[in-house]
Amino acid sequence: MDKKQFSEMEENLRLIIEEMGLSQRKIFLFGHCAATLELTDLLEEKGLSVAAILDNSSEKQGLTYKGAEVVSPDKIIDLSGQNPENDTIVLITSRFYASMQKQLRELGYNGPIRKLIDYNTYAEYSLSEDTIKRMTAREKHGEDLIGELIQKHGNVFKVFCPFNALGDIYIMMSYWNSFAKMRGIENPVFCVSGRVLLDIIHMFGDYPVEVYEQRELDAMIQAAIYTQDKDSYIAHQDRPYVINLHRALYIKKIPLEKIYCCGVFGLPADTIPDIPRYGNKVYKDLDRIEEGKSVIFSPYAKSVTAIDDGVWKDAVDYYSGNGYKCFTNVVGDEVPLDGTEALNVPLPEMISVLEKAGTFIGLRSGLCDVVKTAKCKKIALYPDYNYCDTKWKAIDIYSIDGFENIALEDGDTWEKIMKKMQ
Amino acid sequence: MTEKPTYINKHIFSAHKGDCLANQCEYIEKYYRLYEYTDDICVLEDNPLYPGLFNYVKTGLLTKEELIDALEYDKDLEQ
Repeated sequence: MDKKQFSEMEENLRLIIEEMGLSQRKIFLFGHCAATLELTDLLEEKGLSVAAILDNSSEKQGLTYKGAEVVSPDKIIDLSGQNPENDTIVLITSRFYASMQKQLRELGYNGPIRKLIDYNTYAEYSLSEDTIKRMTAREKHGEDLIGELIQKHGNVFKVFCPFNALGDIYIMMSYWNSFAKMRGIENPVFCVSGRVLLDIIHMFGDYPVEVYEQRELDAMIQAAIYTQDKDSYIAHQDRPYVINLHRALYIKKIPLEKIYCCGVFGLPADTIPDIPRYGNKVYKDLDRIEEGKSVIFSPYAKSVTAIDDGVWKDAVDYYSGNGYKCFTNVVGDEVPLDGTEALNVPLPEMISVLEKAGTFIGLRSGLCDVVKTAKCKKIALYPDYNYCDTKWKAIDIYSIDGFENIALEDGDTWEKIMKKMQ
Repeated sequence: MTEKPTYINKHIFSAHKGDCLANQCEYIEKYYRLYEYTDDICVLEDNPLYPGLFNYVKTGLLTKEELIDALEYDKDLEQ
């Protein structure tokens, strides 16, 4: 979750507490994901605890977080007592809010259900006149924005990148050229929702890029879908709702690279991805990095479950004890790991830092994709969680070439992790 | 040009567009493209505007049988 989304969640929680107070209610969260865990932390800060986390995944049921057990949603009726309207609340931070709300109502839960982050402006499970009117206005607004884009750039081919994620954009761009050749696209303009993605796109070429607020971009994408715009492509693996590639993962394990190569772009499975040729720059403070005797840690990711602090502490102790200088790559107000120095490296300069340092250890996030061509020792750590609602573990889908890919288990120490790498 | 979509309604399971009443299909399609108003409908189409499961069949990652299995897979029955 980025800073803006966290603020939205905080503000919505404040309004809910103001409206109905939560101290006397049993609080249920729906969806065991990174955002839900962050919400649990936020509630804890306010002196509130979570009664249970509802999740449809049988693999997640039985897990606990800060005392809250993950249970099947159909348990809510038993857990919510005689008067759920006044005694309970369900809080949701997932983009599947609409379907979760529907499921709870179908189960017979009649207590309040509240959305804390508006992750998904495409969905509203209603065909009421009012909803259709609002959605029509949203689509028209999208058409207007597309009109403005064409006015600015001329008759271009619009490439919509619906989600602000480094890894998705990096892999998408590594197959873009092959796709453009196959389809005869010569004048693309990329439409994204975060400035940081501009750097990634420019690593692959000097393409025009337009950055939009997420809501505006969603409206444009909806307009392209509604008008069946022939001069557009939505280059993502599971957003928005019209893209159903994820269903293949219910029956087959497909690594993310192949999801993009074959699923998103329809390219032959043996297509060789491009490597970035432009935009890589040298970090201005490279003198801080001791050549071959430094480690760059990257413990943070906005949508990945965090790894136990003890693992990072162990790793820092190990490398410091062996004469390495340790750094944590941080963004914004992220805090460096104890015993490390903070580094804030712009993405196009990251490879220069890693190649001088010699070692990179990161939680598997999009940053790992961005640095995968760096010539150094690279270790990606995978928390023990399932990919979306599939039976596959994160490492099955996200495993990355050129890295030591390590799945973590409960009680892992750095010593154990080193043994896994041998 | 876009091929005619096939609608699979999870509850009714009418598999071919031809099986639906013409006005029913138009209604489904019009609002489906306007917003996600339900998760009960799964549309299988080969649309040049966005990726779809047919890409996996064309590239050999899925067989046609596996495509149907993927569409019919019901998470609710998994447990």
